[in-house]
Amino acid sequence: MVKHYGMAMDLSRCIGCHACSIACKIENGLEVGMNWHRVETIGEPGAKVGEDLPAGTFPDLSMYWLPIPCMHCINPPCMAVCPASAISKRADGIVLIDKEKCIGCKYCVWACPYEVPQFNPLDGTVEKCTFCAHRVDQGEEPFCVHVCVYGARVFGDINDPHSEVSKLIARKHGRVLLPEQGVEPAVYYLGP
Amino acid sequence: MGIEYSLLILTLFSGLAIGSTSLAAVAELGDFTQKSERFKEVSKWGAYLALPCLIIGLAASVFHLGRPLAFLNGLSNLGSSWISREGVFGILFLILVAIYALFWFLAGRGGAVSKVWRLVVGILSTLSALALVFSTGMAYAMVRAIPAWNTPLTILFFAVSAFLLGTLLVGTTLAVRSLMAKSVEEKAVLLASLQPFAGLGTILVITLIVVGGLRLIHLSVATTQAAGQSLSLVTSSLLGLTLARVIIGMVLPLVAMAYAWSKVRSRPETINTWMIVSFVCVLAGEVMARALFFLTAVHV
Repeated sequence: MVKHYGMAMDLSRCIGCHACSIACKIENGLEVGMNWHRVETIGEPGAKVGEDLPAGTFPDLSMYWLPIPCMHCINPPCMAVCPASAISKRADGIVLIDKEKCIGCKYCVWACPYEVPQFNPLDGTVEKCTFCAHRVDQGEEPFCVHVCVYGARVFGDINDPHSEVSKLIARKHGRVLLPEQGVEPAVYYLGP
Repeated sequence: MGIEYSLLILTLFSGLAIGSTSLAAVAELGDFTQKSERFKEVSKWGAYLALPCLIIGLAASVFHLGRPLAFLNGLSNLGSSWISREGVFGILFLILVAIYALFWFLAGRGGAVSKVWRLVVGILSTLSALALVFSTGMAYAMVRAIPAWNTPLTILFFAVSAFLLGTLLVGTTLAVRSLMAKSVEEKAVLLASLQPFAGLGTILVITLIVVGGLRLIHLSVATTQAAGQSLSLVTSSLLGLTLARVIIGMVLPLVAMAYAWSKVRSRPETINTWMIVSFVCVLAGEVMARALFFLTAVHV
């Protein structure tokens, strides 16, 4: 089967330290205000961004963190709507934006169910997580996986049933965000 | 989502151009088949007005881009992107409507362009205009991540809005010319042209109200949380804007045009004032409708 890189994130291991987001910014040299990888707190509804407020009443409290990189979907809606053919999918499943072709129309921002692509006002183009394709090409993992203190992330070929990531997804019943959107994301979540 | 002002201008002005061109071609076809010149002014002004409106709309669309100078790149994904298709149909429409307006200009100066050729260009302009409004609607309607847009009603909204805007733009131009006409004959010709406008406008406003109602029903029956949030915005923080849109953009013009329609035979000159009032109200209403379109767009 054709290789398709993906990721499994064990939410029961994630402590919301945001090291992945910071690592992403450093590795990819992101401008101030740009964030290719966000971590949402799933707790009290209506809590402000950055406020880690649990839902419920003591002692029945619940809260967890949901890291959201680009899902590198099997059917990426951003690629279908891009009028400039600036978004492409590599043979290994990684979805990339060609900034030379991008015209900054922002339709990919609207089309992405996960609100991942970000418009960069400094150069007038849209950008997003690349799964650190430059590192993957060197045989390394994406930097967010490399820095995750608690080993909450596993990266690999989700089409290879013998890969660590596939085994983990199968064993821990990995699920995807917004499956009803039909985009078949390559990022799976394990845990709560 | 915030208001995308350049896209608001694009859809408003391209709507004006699409509606006035379609009206012009239909009027010209009617005159051609009836061998009359009753709606000559409608066709001529429809063609004249469409051109500047389309230029303004397309210019706004370019300035919406982060890299306006690279706008030609945006035509390179015709296979799957409705934005690319919208761009191609927009340029095609611009070329055709420019020729159509030129033919009318030449006709006014004793030019040699035959009526048949002018009619053919008018019909082709209308077909490209219809393709443009369909592409615009599809560009939003296919965004599954925004349930408020993800419905065929989005296409219907842009289409009905365009026909109403164009009809009233041409009608208002003729009404102003009628009010300023110096001779009785000229006034009579313009009033005869304007006669069907009140009825047509009334029907289009009713259609717009129905489409607006169906869009609200679509949101209320959708099962996603985002659709519920969109509906909640309409009934809470955006209630004032929604009511203003309904009253100014729908109720007032409906009353004005229905009244003018009822007086078509007894007091035909009544239509002049009410046509202008209706156009101003509908224009304001459609600006608000587009603002609401973007403000109520909530991601899944």
